[in-house]
Amino acid sequence: MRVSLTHKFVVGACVVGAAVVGFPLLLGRAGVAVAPWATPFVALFVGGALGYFFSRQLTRTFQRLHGVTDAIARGDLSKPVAIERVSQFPDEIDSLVHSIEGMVAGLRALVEHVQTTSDRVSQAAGELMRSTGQVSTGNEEISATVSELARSVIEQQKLLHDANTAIREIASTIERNSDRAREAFGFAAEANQKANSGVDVARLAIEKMRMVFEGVEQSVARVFDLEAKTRHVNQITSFITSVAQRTNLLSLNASIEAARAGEAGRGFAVVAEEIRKLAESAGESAEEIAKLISEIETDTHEVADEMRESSLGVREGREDIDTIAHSLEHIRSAVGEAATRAEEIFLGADSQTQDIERMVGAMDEVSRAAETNGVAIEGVVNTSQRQIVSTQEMEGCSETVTELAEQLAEVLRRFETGDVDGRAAS
Amino acid sequence: MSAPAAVAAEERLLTFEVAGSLYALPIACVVEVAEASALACIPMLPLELAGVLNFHGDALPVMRRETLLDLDAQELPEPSHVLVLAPRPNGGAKLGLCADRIEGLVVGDGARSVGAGPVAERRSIDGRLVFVLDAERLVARAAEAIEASLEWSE
Repeated sequence: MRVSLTHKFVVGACVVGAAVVGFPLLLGRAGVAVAPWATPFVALFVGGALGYFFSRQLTRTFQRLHGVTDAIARGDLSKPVAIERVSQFPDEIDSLVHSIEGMVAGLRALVEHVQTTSDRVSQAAGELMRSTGQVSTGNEEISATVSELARSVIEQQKLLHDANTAIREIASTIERNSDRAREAFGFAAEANQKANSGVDVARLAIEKMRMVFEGVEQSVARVFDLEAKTRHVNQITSFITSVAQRTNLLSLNASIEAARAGEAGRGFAVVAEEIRKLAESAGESAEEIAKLISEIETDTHEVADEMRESSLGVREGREDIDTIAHSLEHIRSAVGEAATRAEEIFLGADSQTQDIERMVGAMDEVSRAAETNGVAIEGVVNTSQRQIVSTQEMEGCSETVTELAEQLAEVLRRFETGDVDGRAAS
Repeated sequence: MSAPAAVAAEERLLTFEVAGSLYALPIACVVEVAEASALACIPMLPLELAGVLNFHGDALPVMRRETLLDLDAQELPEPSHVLVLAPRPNGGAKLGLCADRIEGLVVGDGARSVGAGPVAERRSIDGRLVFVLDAERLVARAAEAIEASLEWSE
């Protein structure tokens, strides 16, 4: 049962009052007369005895508490409070002792915790300082890398600008080529159409030329036939001439024979003379015919020779025309193929134009992205610089924390916590 | 060049051309005019001098023109006719004379050679110079040439 000191003093006062009252009564019953002046002394004695008893207990308790608080003041928290108070009626002193025991335990735990935390803080500060140093080194490397990256980005921007310019020039060139390919396609299509028309016209002309050549060849054949007939007429004329000459010779011989016959051959001589005249006339006519035939034959021969040459020319001309026809077909085929190729080139150039336009757009996007990257890299450089400064500040702070942790550890070294079982603790 | 029908035979001449010159023989001395053909060789005689011709189955000796008329052989063309000469009407030797061309019959008398040559007379007929030959002299000259050639070969 808890009883406060006030109650205990009240109970003491009541005991003193009871002693003052009761002692004379008890003595009176025992037959001892008690002088009235003895009553204060009894009260003093009883009060003094109770006061001594209680004050002695309090003094011991306070001395032990003083020892405990002195040890705490020296930082020795290892010793237990160890104040044994066996009281049926605990009071505020017991509460104080328990409070001091709790305070010591709490201080011990606190100091141990602070020591542990201080050690950890010191270790963490060391780790932090090393990490900060590494971070600082990394930041410097990152800063150098970022600076190099910034220069590369600037160079990249220049290259992108040059590439963009080159691609725009290429785009312009491709666009011009596309226009020219379009014009070439138009020309090729027109050439193809004209080639087809030209081939058709040439085919008609070739057919007409073939008809002309066939007519010329028929004329050549007729001339050759005429030449053969003229030769035959010449042979006949030669035969007539030969007959005339023979007749002339016969008439001459008949004249000679008639002359040799004398008067009897005179009539025969007349006939022979007439025959000779006829033969001469026939010979002269035959000679004229032969001359004419010869001239005709000469002319025919010349015409035939010319016709032969013409025939050769016509044959060569027909071969040339066939070659021309084949060539025209090849030309038409080649022009058609060229038109097809021109169309493919035009379509390819158009596709290239669209592709290069997309490429120009993409290059613009890349340029803008490169500019954004440049700005971002510049921000990164500034951030890196600031981070280096921050890291340096962190290094300073880490050093400060380390020093504070060491100072705290130094302070905490004054406390000896030990443990409840009396084991020493630093 | 034509002759009247009533002219006598002995009054007519046969004209022919040799080496560009015009010659004439009396028609009475000419048996026939034959066409020239290849000559066959006479034994012991060179073909450049004379040869034989098939004349109606008989061998007709033919003397070269250059031999009888004293011509240059290299300038002569191939003959077209052969004149068959018979100086004597009642038989006797016949001789062939090559001619380049037979001109025809003209009116005129024959002549006899007084010299060694066969040409008896030079006469102008129709404005042309005609050498009138002596047929007997031609035959005699041919015989002399053959004999000389035979003697030379022997």
